[in-house]
Amino acid sequence: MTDTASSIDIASLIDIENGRLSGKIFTDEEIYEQELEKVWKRAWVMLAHDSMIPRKGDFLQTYIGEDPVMVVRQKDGGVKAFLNQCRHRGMRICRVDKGTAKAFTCTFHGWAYDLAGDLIQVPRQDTAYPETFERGRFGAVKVPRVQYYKGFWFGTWDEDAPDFEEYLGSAKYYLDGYIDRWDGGMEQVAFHRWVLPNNWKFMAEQPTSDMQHSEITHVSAATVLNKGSDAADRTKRGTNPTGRQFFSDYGHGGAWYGEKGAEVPNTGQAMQRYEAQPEIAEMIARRLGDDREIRGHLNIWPTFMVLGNYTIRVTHPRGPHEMEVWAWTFVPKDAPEDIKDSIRRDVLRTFTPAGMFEADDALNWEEMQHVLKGRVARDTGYLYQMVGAPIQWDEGCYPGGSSAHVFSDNAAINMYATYLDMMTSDSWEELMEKRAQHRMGLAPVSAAGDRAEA
Amino acid sequence: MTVTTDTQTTDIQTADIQTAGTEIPFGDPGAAARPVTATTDRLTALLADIDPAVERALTRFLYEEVQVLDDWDWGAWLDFFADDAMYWAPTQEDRLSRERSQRINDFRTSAYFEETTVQLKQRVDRLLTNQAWGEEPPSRSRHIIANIRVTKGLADDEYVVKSNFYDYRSNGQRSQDSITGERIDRIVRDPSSPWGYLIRERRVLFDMSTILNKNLSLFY
Ligand code: FES
Ligand SMILES: [Fe+2]
Repeated sequence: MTDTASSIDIASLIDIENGRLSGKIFTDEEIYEQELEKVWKRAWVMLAHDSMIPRKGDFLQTYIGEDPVMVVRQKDGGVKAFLNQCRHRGMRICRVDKGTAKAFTCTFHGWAYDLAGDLIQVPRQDTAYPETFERGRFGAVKVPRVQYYKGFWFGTWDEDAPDFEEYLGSAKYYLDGYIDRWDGGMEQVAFHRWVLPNNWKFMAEQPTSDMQHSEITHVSAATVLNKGSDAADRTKRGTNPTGRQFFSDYGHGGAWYGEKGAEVPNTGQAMQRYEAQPEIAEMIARRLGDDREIRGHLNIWPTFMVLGNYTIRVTHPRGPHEMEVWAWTFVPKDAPEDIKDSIRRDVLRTFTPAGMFEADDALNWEEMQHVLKGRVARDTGYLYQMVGAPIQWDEGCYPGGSSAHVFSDNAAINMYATYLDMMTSDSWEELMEKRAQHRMGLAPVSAAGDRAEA
Repeated sequence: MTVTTDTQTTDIQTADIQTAGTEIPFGDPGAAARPVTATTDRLTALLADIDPAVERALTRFLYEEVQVLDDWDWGAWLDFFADDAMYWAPTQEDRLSRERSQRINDFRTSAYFEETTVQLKQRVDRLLTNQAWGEEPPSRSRHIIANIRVTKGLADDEYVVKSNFYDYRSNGQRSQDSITGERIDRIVRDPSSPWGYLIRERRVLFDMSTILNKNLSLFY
């Protein structure tokens, strides 16, 4: 059934009921190969934002998992995506990050592809190829499903995946809180890209669930950051912070501090003042409803991440021991220049490779990955037993599963439950069925039963 | 202006420098004996603008600066900067040759650093909390500065100093990385500085388009 028959029983490594994971899922090569097949070939991945490729012929090179993908603005204004691999001998068709083009010509033997990825020219075709050679059959491999959502373009390799909005599920409500606040939409103003020596799931887990690490990991940054600059005062959250954590069916999750109207956003002070202006507050309330003061961390599984200060990122896996972080800074397009500048500077000083928060996360993940080289360490197991508060479903204005405590492992364990279901399903149909059965805190978790059968 | 050579001191005018001089073939045994006015080439013109003692002082200034960093004396490092200094590092991306001019991002767009002196001090203060876990225990670093080129700036007593850097970092038991790039510094003479000079502006250009290091938690 699967390309990558694994000798590893993944279900024996993930114990949802007891909140325990084996370190092997972060280090094993076979498991990683299976992830490329079962997770990355199947999930929806963010490809681009309108503002990255505004005009026809604008393109960028990105990835879905390890597969390089071209994302191109078409003449009709739409966006197409195709594998960045020449059908002749497999050379990378395009080797720059972005630009504007009329066509893409492979630098190996000169096969040329148009903006849609169709093969339009083969040197010496007339004289050296048989008449039966059909160019139409050798276009670049298309990303079969590309969907637009509020300025962003998402793609998946899986023809049978549910529509993107269905995949978002209850996470739509929370994602909209970040990306749909503004009548004029958003635009990308900065881009950072770096490599971290750790498994991709470590970072995915953090915006999904782990607000608590911030108190310890980021204590140095939180202490100095608000002094003498426009940054938010991240020390104001007090000793007993309130907030909420949520999770939804396909592994998405997030958490935020504060309660409705009494929240401490992550953005700088200029931005906080801007959003407090009556006409701006009115716009946000009109677009999102009164209750949507949600500005913390969010991850759309597998790795589309949104942080409250408008850093938006996708991480690409690079083997079990490495990943690439692609991080963009977004601003509301219609905001005044000083507001845009405040957001831009706040992001670059906090969540970029030179960011004061980011620097310390990297250290943790690098050390964790290194420890996993140990044969005993790999089997010790990790604990996800922080309850936070009881799980509620569709409570009040909060769709999905959530709990009334900012610190909890629920969303992380839900993420790994989704991961387990993905890794053990051969189709989206099977996966959707399993996910419907495994709604944490609602129906009895039957992962243990599945394990016994596996 | 005055140019000093081994054999003589010659006053020359800027206009003289710009006129084409006599070609001196490489290895010409008579070359050393000829007056310096004969070598009216670009390099002589560049050097003629800068007092060799100033060039030496600025070079030493930059060596001292990186030594302070490698000594983990991050607080003292701030003494190298003017109060209104700007320290910034643009990002760059891979572009086609024909779009190469857009490769490096402009000031106030995409950057790794864009720091006033106040903000640089925040970064230093963070390291000095002893809880900046990325640098606790601190890395061993080695900043290597080379290709230092001093030219005259726009204002009096202001110099534009370009240099290349290779910064090596080792941290923990066996983690290591390094990064290379170019710095363009605007440095002013300032007697209030313990060093006699202050950095007004530094642009750091990293050569990587994807930063292959886990972070940029030190100074460059
Ligand atoms: S590999 Fe692309 S033309 Fe041959
Ligand atoms: Fe963090």
